Amino acid sequence: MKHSQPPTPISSLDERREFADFAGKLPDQIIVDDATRERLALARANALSTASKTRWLPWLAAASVFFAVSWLVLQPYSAVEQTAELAMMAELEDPNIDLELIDNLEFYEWLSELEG
Amino acid sequence: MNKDSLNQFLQSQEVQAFKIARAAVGSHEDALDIVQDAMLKLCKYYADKPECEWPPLFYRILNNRIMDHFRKNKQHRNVVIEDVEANQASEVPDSYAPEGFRSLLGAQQLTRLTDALSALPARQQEAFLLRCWEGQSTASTADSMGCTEGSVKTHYSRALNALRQALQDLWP
Repeated sequence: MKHSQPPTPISSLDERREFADFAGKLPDQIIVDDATRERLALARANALSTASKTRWLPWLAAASVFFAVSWLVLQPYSAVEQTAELAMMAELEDPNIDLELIDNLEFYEWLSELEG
Repeated sequence: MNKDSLNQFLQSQEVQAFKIARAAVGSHEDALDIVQDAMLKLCKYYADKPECEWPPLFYRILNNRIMDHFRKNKQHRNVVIEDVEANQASEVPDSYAPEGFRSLLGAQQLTRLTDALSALPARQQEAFLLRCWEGQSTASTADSMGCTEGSVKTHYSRALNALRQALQDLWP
């Protein structure tokens, strides 16, 4: 057998509605003085300015990360290429290079390989 | 973000929001902190939303901050209630002059209501704040609380009964 709650009397419902009206108006009893209004206005200004500043932060962070990654990716390739090119050019264009010394070094290297 | 519109919206709501927070938490400074935090969160995360969505969002944030306050202070609740009972037992001395109230009776009623509200279960607190003080409909409250309208009615009804009991001798 299903048990059901007895219906709430109408007088009680009216009383509850009256109480809800009364309780709903209680915050209106609070007087907000000028000092509090000023603090609320200041809080509002701070909230608006903070929000304006922080709106650009994610974009700024994303841009920084993008540039950092791009630099890291491109840096080693271009550095190696440029260093190799410079070394070759220096070797070809250096007028003071001692060709006899290089020949001697190559000869001793060949000799050590034979003995070795 | 339309800064002027947001400024106007917050300006139109800040006093009412402060009154609700002040009535709920019973502390002037805490209420100011709560309203400030609600304004900051709205500006920071929801400024780009359509203007018609600002009021429910703002009051939902405000409500969440009040609920956070209740949760944080739950461990101190018994002590506070004991203090309030001690004050009430002394039949409110002449020197008792609460700041920012229209009448002494109003201050007493609100103090009693604030204490009774902080003692309620969280869901009842939430239902009362949303329905009674923030004036939301049952459907909107159900949406905010993530439950059915029937549950909202139950929580709200229980909250009203408990609060009515707490204010029995102060309610006209």
